[in-house]
Amino acid sequence: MVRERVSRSLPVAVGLLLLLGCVAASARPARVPAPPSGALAALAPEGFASSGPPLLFGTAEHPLKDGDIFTYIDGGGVVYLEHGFADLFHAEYGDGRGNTITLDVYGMATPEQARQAMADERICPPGAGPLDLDPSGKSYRFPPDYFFYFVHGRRLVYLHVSDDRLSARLAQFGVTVKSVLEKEGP
Amino acid sequence: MNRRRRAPAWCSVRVLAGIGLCLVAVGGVAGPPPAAEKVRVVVARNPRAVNDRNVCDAAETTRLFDGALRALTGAATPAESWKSLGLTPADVVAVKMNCNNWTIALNPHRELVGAMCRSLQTVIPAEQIILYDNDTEALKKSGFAINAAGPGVRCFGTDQGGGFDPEQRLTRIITRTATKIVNLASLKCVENNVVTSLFIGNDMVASLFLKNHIGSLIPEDMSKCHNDPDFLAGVSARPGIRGKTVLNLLDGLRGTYRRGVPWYWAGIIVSRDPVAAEAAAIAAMNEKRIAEKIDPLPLPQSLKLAESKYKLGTSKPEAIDLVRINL
Repeated sequence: MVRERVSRSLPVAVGLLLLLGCVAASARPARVPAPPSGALAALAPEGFASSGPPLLFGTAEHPLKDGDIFTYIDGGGVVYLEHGFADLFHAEYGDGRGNTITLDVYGMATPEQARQAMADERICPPGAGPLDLDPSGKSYRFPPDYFFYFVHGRRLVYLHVSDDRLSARLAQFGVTVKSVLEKEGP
Repeated sequence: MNRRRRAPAWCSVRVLAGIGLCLVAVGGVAGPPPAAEKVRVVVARNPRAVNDRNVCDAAETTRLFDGALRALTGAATPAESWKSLGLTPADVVAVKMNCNNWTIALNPHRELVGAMCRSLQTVIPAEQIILYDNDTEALKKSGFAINAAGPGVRCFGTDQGGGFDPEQRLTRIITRTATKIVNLASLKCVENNVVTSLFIGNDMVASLFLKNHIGSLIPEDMSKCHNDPDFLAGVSARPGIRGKTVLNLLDGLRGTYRRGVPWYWAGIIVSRDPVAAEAAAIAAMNEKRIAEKIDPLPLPQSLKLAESKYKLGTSKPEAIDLVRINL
């Protein structure tokens, strides 16, 4: 009789424990996703060298080693926060002749938010050209600037070169960045 | 040189009708102030000053700056112009620049800064001119040589500027070192106030004269400006800025009319009044936006507060003497 009562109440207790576990998990603060690893930091476009160590920016609530997004893009950062911005990896490269390449990898909370960020005209204005390395990416030629965006998982990647005549070099570097991000996973 | 005066571009029939109704509602129409009491704003353009790869012609840019300064002050020479703006040989002039080049380069053009510095040197020595922004690295990346104490024009960031005034929470470059300020802004559209942002109350539409002084603030206060138009407007009303600013100069040789989209406007705006100059800059963006069939930008709340609460200037078309110069 006792055994029967225990066996009847066991599933109820297990259910309650599972429910409590779910409630506790949802009450915990959301985990802050990690920015890209050192593999990205080791990259440099062909003919260019890193201008300094890469910078990492977080949010005002969770700043990373170089501060928050406003430290980097000032008021423009508000738009990224609307799309679940969590972290930013920023690196710059120079070729010694005055040309610079910039790599920004924005980590959003979810892949959906990264896609929404790329669809936001305040980040990617209308009039984009195609991007060979990613059919869903967007490229812009505003002489002398050339830059493009693509999404990988929850990351929005921005690459810029100060002289649009070096656009092929930038595209080549974009392929390398994409392959590194693919190895790192979402 | 083709010079003409007219009502400001933001002076639309609808806006005028609205202003008229407001004036009637408060008890009468006072009429426009006499020309001598109007605030002068000079909008000067020279298509030969910059090409379509953002390369400036130094001589044409100098001609543009000198012509605009003459038109603003009515003086015959640069020295007389600066003296009419209140500059004396003992002054130290701090020039606030915006070197944040996120996405595309919109930092001030060195040729324009050079023209202004040469003009200033008709009154003060080069060593009494300080070019600054908040970040020394950003100044370097924009092509400005850092010079903290050597001969020639000084140039460094607030991160090397001797700290911050604890009361005004502004860089000591302007509270302690400088006796006069030139506010050198860039023609930059930020456009945060689209539908999604309306829900968070952000009305920052452009990064112009008011927003330029975010870089004069103690770093921990900078982000307060992003969602607080009153705070942003109030920064320019602090004594270290309000009492020392002699000129507001906008570099629009290359600007943006929508966020992230540049165009070679090939112009500059100068005025003693930051509110009137900012309204003129937004009008310049709106001329392009209308031509591109994009909704015009509204005057931001921060600008309205700068006018109504902090009395920093006027955006009222009838109170502005707009001078257009086309070289």
